Amino acid sequence: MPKNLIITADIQNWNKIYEFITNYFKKSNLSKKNRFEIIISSEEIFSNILHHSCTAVNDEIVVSVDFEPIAKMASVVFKYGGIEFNPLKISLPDVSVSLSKRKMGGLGLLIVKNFTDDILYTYSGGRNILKISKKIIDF
Amino acid sequence: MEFKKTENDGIVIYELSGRLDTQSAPDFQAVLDEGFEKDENKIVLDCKNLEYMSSAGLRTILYAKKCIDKNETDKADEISAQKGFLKLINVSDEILEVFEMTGFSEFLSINGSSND
Repeated sequence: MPKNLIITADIQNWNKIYEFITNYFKKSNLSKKNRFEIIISSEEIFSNILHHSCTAVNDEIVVSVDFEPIAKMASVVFKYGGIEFNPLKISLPDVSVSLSKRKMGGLGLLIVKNFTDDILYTYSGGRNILKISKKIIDF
Repeated sequence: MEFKKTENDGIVIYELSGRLDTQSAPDFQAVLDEGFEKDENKIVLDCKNLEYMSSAGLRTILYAKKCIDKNETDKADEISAQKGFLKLINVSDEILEVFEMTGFSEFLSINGSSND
């Protein structure tokens, strides 16, 4: 059964999202490793939304979580107003370059791409919708 | 995130617990900065009780590594005993995977198996 959390675009609200997602997937009996990968991906998405889209702290963000046991698919959806922002357009960093040449941009998206199986972005009616999905193989 | 700071023979050990994330990373970076101002450049991060580290945490680690390396360059004439370092110990498999996928494991000393 999907669940929703409505919060404002304030960095201080990350803890609420963390607790919300963790509790839901704990009750869904996902392993610690799977929860870790979903949580860290969710934080990267939330952080990017705050930096690039919902720059006013009173902007509303709806976070929805779902796990479908038959399909073995876990998902987190972020719906937000703010500026149209597609995180998938962020350039990924070159992780092979030396320390001195390292740029920090795109690391978050790199983590999301590695830890999830699908990232879907749409923009409609002034609303951004971003869904990350993860196949839970060991469920 | 919470941390406990101890010092032993010039080596500063931070025992981290909780999450080094988008909320806590800026505060921890400020703590590290205070140390760098006091020439603390031998740093060990004990990650035994660290739940996870996001890219915000990685940025703080990279910042610390660059500060220490820059300090080394600035003090190149000093004896090797003064050489600074940044080590991460007791890193969980999950966090280690993040270091590896982002290439950080190439230039960080992690769990005692230094790549430096």
